[in-house]
Amino acid sequence: MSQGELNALALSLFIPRATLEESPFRFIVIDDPVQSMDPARVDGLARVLQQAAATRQVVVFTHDDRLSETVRRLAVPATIIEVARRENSAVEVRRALDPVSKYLTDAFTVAKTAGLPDQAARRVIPGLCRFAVEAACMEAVRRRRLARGENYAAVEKLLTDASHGLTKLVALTLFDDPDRGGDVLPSLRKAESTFADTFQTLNRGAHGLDGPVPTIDLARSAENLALWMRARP
Amino acid sequence: MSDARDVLQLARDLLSRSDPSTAGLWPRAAALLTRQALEEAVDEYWRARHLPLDSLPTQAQLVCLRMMTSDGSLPARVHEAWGALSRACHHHPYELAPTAEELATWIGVVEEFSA
Repeated sequence: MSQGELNALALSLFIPRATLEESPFRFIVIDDPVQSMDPARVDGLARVLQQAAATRQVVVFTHDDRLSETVRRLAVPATIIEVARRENSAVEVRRALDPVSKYLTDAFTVAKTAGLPDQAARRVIPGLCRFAVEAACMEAVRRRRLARGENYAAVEKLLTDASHGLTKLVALTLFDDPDRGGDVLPSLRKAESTFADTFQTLNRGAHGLDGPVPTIDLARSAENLALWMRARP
Repeated sequence: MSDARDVLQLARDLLSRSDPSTAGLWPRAAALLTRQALEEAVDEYWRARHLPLDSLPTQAQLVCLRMMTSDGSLPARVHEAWGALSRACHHHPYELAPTAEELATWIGVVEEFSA
């Protein structure tokens, strides 16, 4: 049995036991249940946890993004909290948004905050905006292909292969084909006059932009582009 | 102080200074800054030696760096740090942002290189 299958087997014993009527505890706490699980099984786990959560409080710790992605995609009601630790174990806790909103919020925060010097904002905002567009593309592609009944592993492999270049990822989102990079700019231009410029700025900008960067404007155009990409059928 | 080191200092500040306005966003922001500092430090290295390599893709520059220098493991560690930072500088399915320890290691490598 693989590690993922062993984990699933262990959970299939633990969850029914922990939720017995005789149990005095009205909650279950699970540490990293999705380790080495394939994505289809993570969907199943999310549904099982949802059932358990009808009568119990369910707390799950995890160190990757798969369970939270599944919970959002299947619209399982859950509160997702992100914990990060800076040096000297300064722990920060914040309510997690979906990745697209998170990166956009981060970009706006950096643009508006005094917490980062201008020099840092100019270098960081284009990258954060690109993360948002990347995440939006991945959400659209994953939704479309899983709805078609495609294999989870194949979809994830496709996304991972396309994730090293924004052009590939946008081509995959627009044309369902990562190799049609040449058609990206004309197609963006046709959709909305600002999209092509924004796309090019983000493509260059992860390595830092020279000169003054209209940071708030860039974050706004990136938001429009990301939301449009995410809405692609 | 060189430009690359200024940028590294910004990244270090993000790791060490607890600041509610950068809560949650500092790991990715520090990764973006560190990768840019690394690329600038490598450019500076070539410029200081009058070698016109700074217009090559970074990947090629790092391979050249490993070929052309005999001094220990540092070029290999710079190359490795750049690969790891490049992963952290894209949104990958299911991956979380890098931890403070990972970022501190990469910043340390770039600092050592640009010293």
